[in-house]
Amino acid sequence: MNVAPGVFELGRAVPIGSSVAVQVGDRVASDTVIAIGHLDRRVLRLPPGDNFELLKKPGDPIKKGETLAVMEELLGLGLRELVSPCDGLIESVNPRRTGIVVTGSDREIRALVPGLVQTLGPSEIRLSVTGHRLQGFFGFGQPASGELWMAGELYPASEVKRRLGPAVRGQVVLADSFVLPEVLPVLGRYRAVGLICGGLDFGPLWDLISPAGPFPAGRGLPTLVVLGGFGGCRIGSEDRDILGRAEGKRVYVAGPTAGRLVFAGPPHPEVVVA
Amino acid sequence: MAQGEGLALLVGSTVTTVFTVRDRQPTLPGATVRTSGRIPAPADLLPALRTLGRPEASAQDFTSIVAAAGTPSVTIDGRSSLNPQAIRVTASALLEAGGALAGPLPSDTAAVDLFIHELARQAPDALVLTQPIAGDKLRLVARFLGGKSAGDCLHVVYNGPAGYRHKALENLAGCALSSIPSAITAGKPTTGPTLQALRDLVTSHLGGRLAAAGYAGRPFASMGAAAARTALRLAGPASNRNEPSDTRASLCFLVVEPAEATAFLPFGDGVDAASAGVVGAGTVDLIAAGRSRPAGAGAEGWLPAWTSLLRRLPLDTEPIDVANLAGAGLVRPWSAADSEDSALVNAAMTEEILARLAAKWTGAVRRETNPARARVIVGTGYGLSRLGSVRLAASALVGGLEPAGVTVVAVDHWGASLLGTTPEVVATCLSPLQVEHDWMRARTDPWAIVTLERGNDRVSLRRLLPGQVSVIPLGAGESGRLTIEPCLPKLDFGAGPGRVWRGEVRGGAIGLVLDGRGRPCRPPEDPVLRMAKRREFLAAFGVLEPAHRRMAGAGKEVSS
Repeated sequence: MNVAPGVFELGRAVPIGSSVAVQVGDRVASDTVIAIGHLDRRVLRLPPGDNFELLKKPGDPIKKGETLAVMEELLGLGLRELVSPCDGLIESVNPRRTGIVVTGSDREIRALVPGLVQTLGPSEIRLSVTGHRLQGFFGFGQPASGELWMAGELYPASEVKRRLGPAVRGQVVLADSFVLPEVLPVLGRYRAVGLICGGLDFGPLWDLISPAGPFPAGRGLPTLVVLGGFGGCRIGSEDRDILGRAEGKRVYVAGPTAGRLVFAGPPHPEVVVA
Repeated sequence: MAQGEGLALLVGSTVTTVFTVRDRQPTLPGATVRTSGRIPAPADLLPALRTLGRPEASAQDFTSIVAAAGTPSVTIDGRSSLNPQAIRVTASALLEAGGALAGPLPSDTAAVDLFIHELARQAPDALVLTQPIAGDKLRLVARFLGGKSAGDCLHVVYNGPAGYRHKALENLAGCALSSIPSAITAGKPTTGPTLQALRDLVTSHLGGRLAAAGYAGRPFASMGAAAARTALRLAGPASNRNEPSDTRASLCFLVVEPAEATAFLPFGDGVDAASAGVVGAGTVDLIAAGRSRPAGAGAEGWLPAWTSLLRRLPLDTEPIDVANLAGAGLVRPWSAADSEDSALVNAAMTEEILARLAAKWTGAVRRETNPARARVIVGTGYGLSRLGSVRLAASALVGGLEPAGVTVVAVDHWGASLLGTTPEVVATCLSPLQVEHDWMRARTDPWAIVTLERGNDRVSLRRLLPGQVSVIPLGAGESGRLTIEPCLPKLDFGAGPGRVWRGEVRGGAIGLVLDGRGRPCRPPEDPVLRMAKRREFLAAFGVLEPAHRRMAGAGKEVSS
């Protein structure tokens, strides 16, 4: 059965080396800060040769969009900038000057779901949570939480335009049945944190999230949890009842593994209504 | 419990099968439970044990265990542009030992940071260095391993050229470094030391996992080792296997999982092995020219293009519906097909994986042992079982590998051959080597006259017509003498161009399949004709209804 009401354990990943802000036995709310650290670490490749100028050195703080290096193009006729993809600092530049390692700035990692701290591990804090845990059919994305926003039917495309807008910012959007995968970039633009739906077509979704697509493994898109299946599937009646009662409440959504596609779990994508 | 009796356990990557053992042989049918990539505890097997009427059985009743889950994941490092042979040998030895490939690493030295990131992401249990590392790369690897403790240390095996030492790695708590003799000596492959080192690694890792799951002390083998052993056993003595003039491998043993296929081909005293996966994580991709994208992948990335899948289906359907069925098959690999369409899409996906394996075999292993040129193809694994029909499984093997000449196809639905049984022959496929069929030209001149003489003086005479697929029934347990007379001097059925092929054949559930689609088989561009020909092919294998077989118009019987 998909619905598992009661008490269960939920793991919240924290970066290794982060400072933990809770102790075993602490009761936490969704917005309680449980650790401070950074998960982002990216390698930016520099072009071969030495026809570029580095504007930053290791240890320098950087802002998203800030220029890190300037390169000559077209035999010196043009210039190209290498900009930072995130806030943070320059961790290192390798000796051959072929790559820059950028780490994200420290940020607060929140519990996202109310519960009791059970164990503290080097990379995970386990919480005891009371509520409903719904296992998804397919999904991806970082753990996130937001108020549940009922969108009804997000089909056809005209309905998507009519129903979605700035109101979904920070919300987890629930669509009753089939949605168009093109909804995901729209939700991303409006800064929604998640989408729960009954079903969607795998083909156009794969065009978005495949390694060759614009959002590899769903990076840059809101967290997705498909509860029914691929194609025109609806959310099961029990799950629909639970989610129906949670309208306006804060719910937790998570893909199986952040930053990577997992077709067949475990782990599975999930929705937690606590 | 009597001597030679008990239970046998086959732990696949998606399902586990339990068999009752009598006289040291597993009895069919077995009973399955879902595993999802881990070794199930004895308590998890209770539903299967109840099905077999042995609910009281304990871990001590298991007399043999073969496991694909619980084996170590291994990353192989090396630049394919510098020493591809060492990577080939190591990858083949890894599969033969039963380890799992964690994934290819970026080989470009300019991207050493990417190398470390990818290594951390793959989180393998062992790293094999086929070439020495030095400079920035060595420093970064040492720094990465320096952050590990003795409890989660990484086994690093160096099988590159002798004379190199990696001093920076020798005294790290997070690194267990061992240097073994090179995989390449004087330009020739030396598999032995690498295979032994990987076998030791797999045995110790898998033994630990089985003990932790509650099977301490029970005899076990990894799936890869069992498959290699089975391939050697089924191929017979080495003296029967190779002839100097032989360009065909004797036998190909395939373990087909829902998203990956691994082929084991006996060659000389050893076994050549390679794998291909639907997400580009097979060993054939280690030698790929472009690491970022496996050859044969469609516009959709790692997965085959939906239009490619559609070309393998006899369904009048849209690519979007094919994608949904294919996606559901990937998300629920443990579930059997719940409809004919779903089974056909799963079979098409299996064909795509096998086609990828065969297409990249020559570059990744060697030309002589290409699975597409094996005389006998034996398929097993849940990727075939979940199709629900031995006939559909056989059609997927033939459709994916496109064997040429006279090829025997056997399917082991339960995987019991890994535990010592001999699989049943399902079909014998006949097709000329390297003759393409032009679908736009209506030709009725036959490619060959096929004569089958059975023991009781019954003679079947058929024409192998280009563009048509037909069947000569030859039931299980029956055998006959087959003669193939090519009608054109260039046509070769295995005896040489224009020469008559004669030999004994055994019957099976399907019989003799006369495949006139040509090799390589390029489906017709016209969608209506393509679907009709696909139906004809599947009807020949008995997958579709006889009505379709009649519609397709099988080869005419000349006399009997």
